[in-house]
Amino acid sequence: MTNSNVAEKAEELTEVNPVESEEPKVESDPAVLLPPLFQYVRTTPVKRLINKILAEQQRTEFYSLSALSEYPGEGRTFLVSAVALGYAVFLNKRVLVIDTTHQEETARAYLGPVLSRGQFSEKKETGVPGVVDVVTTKTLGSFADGQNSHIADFGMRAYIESVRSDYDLVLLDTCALSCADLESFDPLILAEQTDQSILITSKRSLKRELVDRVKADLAQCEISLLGTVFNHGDSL
Amino acid sequence: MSSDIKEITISPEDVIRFIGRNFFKTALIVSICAALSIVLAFELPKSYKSQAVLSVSSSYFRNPLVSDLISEVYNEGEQAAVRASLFRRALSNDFLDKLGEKYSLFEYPANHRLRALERENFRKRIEYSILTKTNFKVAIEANDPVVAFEMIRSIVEQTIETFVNERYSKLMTTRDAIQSSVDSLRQALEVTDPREIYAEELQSLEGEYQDLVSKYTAQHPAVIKLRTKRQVLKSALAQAEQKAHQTAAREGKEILSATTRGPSQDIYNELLRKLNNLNIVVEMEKNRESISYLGVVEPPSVPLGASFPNKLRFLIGGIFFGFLLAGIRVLADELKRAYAMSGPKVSQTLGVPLLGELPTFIDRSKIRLLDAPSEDSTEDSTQGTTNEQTKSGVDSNEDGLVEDSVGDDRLTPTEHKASG
Repeated sequence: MTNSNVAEKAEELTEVNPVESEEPKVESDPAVLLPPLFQYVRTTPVKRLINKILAEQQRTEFYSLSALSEYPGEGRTFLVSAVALGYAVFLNKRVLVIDTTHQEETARAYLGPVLSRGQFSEKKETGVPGVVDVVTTKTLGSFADGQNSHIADFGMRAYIESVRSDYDLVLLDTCALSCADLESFDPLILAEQTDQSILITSKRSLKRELVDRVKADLAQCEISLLGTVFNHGDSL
Repeated sequence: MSSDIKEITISPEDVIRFIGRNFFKTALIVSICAALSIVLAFELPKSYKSQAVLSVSSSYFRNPLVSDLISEVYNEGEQAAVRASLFRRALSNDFLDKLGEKYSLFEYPANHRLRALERENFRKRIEYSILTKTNFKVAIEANDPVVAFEMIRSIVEQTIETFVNERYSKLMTTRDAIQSSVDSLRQALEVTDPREIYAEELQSLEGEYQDLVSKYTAQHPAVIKLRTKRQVLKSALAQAEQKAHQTAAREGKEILSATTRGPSQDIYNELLRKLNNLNIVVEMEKNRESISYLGVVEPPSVPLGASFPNKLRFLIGGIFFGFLLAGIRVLADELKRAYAMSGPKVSQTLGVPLLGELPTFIDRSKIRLLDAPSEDSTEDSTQGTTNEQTKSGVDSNEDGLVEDSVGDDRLTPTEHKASG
């Protein structure tokens, strides 16, 4: 995809989220955030990463992909955002991001510029090519309301199957493996219910004993691991 | 999860890489340790060792002329033990006190209770080591080479003196004992025993009496006279016997009789012969220059160089210690390297491919642009913009657009327009 196509896509997206005033842009305004994120996604390592994921998807025909990492701040949401953006902008795919981390603001900050609906927390229509939809576990209806939140862990597969026809790729953002507690949705349970998972590592999680433990956990939960991604960046 | 035993193969390339990784730090550590050891060798106070080698042959332990009087030592182990014992005796308290005071080695006065401790420490500084069956080495260290030389020379002299005096005193003691026996025997041999005289006369008188009795009757006057004389002699003999016994019991010496005089004379002659031999040996021992059993193989000398610290040994020790430290460091680094993993290694451990890497995301100062706004910020975005932008340090151009954080040269005019 050429720069002009990207620009056109960016222009389209900005038209969906029209600028309401002549005042200087807010931080979540696509006019502010879009260029950096687009620049980033266009860098060679990220493009290659997206291409690799695409190739694997074509080869194994997976539909859902979850992002895992041992520690918070290693870049799960960031990766999900970058892949979603890449799929949407470069490949004109229909992408759904399921946020199970209760980090609505963070997700919105990454993906707000590319959202078509203007409303972050609710999916209103079926997937649109080149657009990323984001839902949270709060908006999954009966699966994950506050009183029945424990159901969401086990009902994710059913939900993903229910939207299969609407999207080309479903990305699942989970909480860190080390942060799984009573309040969070267990990332390993969620990952087991997706077709594939990606493990994100950073310089903080390179200890052998840690890797061995993660390997044991993944094997125990029979999680299919597509591969690993190493994040050179620091925690934001 | 299987627990297969993995074979570890080491290729020459691994070895070369290992050496390449650790060569510089090893060389650096070894060099530093070697340099420090040399500096230490120059800075430490020097001590000088002076030594001498003495020889005490086996003839010292033998005296052929008087071997039946003075015991000899043939066993080499015993000889070595005797040499060591005599050397220790040479280092008497008086000698060590005198030597230590001469060279100001003692801190406390002679009558102080700690003087004994100082003396013992001084004694321990004197080295004694066996070199061969007959030779042994003595040595001492001091801060001054001349002092070391003079001390070892004194020790050698003292040692020689002790060895010679020990042998001489043994000879003298033996000679004195023999002399006493000889004198006693001589006195005994010189005294005439009356019992012998009485016995001789009685024997001859008995012959005459028997002759007269055969010619005359018992009442013949000549027979009566001889009989009376015989009785007198017997009585005198009995008295002499009694007196001899009393004298032997009182004075402890026996008046040699005719039967015992012979053997005693032999003993006397033998002792006299041995005494003569001893006198010969003693006379020979008096002339120190003729002593052949004791000699100085290596005389003391002024040490030319310091025995401690030995610069070469320090250097070798420093290099060895450097390699030891470097080895520990290399081991720690390699363990850490093996323990710590990299992105690709994680993939390898998990058995999955490394899909890719996320580079560092742009300028961190602009990261704040991605800070999550509040849920209401979308509605209030226009109001909060100026403050937010000021806070983040973001400048906006006259169109109200925010410049790209990466750099305008990355953006095409179309993108700039799109972002605006």
